[in-house]
Amino acid sequence: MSSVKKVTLKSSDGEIFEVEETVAMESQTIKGLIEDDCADNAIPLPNVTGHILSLVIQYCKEHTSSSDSNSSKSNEKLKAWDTQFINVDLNVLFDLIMAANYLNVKGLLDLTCQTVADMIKEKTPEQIRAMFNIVNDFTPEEEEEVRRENAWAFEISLKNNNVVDTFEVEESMAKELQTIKNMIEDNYTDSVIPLHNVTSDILELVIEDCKKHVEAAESESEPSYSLASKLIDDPLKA
Amino acid sequence: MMEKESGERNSSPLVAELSELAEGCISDIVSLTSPKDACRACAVSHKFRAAAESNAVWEKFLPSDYQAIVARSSSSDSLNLTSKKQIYLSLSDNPILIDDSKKSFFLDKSSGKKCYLLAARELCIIWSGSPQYWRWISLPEESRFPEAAELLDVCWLDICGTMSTSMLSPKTNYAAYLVYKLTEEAYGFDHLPPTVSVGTTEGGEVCKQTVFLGQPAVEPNQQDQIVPPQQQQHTSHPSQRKDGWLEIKLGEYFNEEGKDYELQIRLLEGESRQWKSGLIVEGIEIRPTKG
Repeated sequence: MSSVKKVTLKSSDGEIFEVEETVAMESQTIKGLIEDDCADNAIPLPNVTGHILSLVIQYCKEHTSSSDSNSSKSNEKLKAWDTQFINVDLNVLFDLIMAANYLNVKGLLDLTCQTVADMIKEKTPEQIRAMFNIVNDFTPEEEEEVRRENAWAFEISLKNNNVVDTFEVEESMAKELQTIKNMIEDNYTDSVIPLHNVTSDILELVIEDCKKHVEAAESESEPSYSLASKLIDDPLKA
Repeated sequence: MMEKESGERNSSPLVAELSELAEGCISDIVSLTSPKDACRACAVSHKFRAAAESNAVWEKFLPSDYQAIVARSSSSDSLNLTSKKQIYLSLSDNPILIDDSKKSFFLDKSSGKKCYLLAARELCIIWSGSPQYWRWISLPEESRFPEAAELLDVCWLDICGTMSTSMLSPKTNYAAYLVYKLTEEAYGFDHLPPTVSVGTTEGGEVCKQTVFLGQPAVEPNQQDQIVPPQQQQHTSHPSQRKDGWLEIKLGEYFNEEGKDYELQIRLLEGESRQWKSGLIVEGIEIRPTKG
């Protein structure tokens, strides 16, 4: 008989897994059950399907053996394994997050959350919703208010001639300029937009003009087109 | 590969349901992004907003010792704010005076790194104790400190700021700036440009260059003819700040983790024997470089 102690785990869809106790204890939740002597029979895990549980066990196995003194797995190799492991489709990724949370497997939770965090970075709310199929449950007024409260986060930097001067502008204003609007809508995720053909002076004038347009639109009066806005069409049309 | 999970999900099995995640999980994810991302995330949905505004998230963005720093302010209203997010935004937008109003502390809004403006009173300005050379003036409309130093006349210009690197955020590249103004009657700054240096005695490499304190936004090729051409490459020029002062970059310093060195920032012009006047010093600012 094997001298290694094992525990039995049962997934939500009835799959049975026999796992070494040390591996299972990577999960703080299971560890607690074992220590409280509740693990004599199969431990039921109603929140985790067999497919996801097998992945979690795989992760725990890999990370237990690496802390083994006999193991020669280096940090680099483990990281490479993690990267490979986490390369799954979004559904599986979210299930892994929920399982890691429920089973309290810290390393796996960190890994999965960081992966999703990297997907969210620099994205606009629209992009985040599209990526993860989230319904926008704000009313237009509510959404407007949230954006106003967090206006600084929505500013776009316009840089001229790839050089020194950077202008921070509100996204709504930057969109007044067709070229920039197109760049934003084409998911230009870098928040610094370089404008090679425009000098600082012109850019300042144009921004002033856009401000007036946006303010005029908000006060519902007829916007008047100034000379600067005519310049919009010339230097900025790619 | 595509999973059809239990019948609870109503949407197509091809599409992931981030909304199913517990709010706590979303907070965990958002706390691994950045302050800007966290604010943008507020506009995604109600659940996202609640997760992204939670204290768990913003506690991660605040420096670990922010409470101790704020305690050094005699008028700290910041800690009375209800949420960590509000504390973060307040410390980013409204610098607080600490250490007997000798320093101003604030956070770099996009990164949460610690920034300081050392008041002129905190600096070592040679001859500033002698009223015929420097005088201390109060500029309540323009300065955030009780006093600024005004140069009346010196030929030895020597300004030095020191601080402990343990006050800075770890693993961060910082830049130091002289924050100042020139009066209309200022003179003596158009000949030999001062030398500036930033570094520590323990840390090794000290970054050195020359600076041109004169008129801002001067294109290098329009520079005063008297400055020798070989100094133009190493000379930086002042820029206008939002608080009405000018600033000139004095150098950079990369702060490692866990070291406690003495950072020295110095501006010196003592070679030319030229008399200078009309420099008003607000202080020296240390903040992270961009990017």
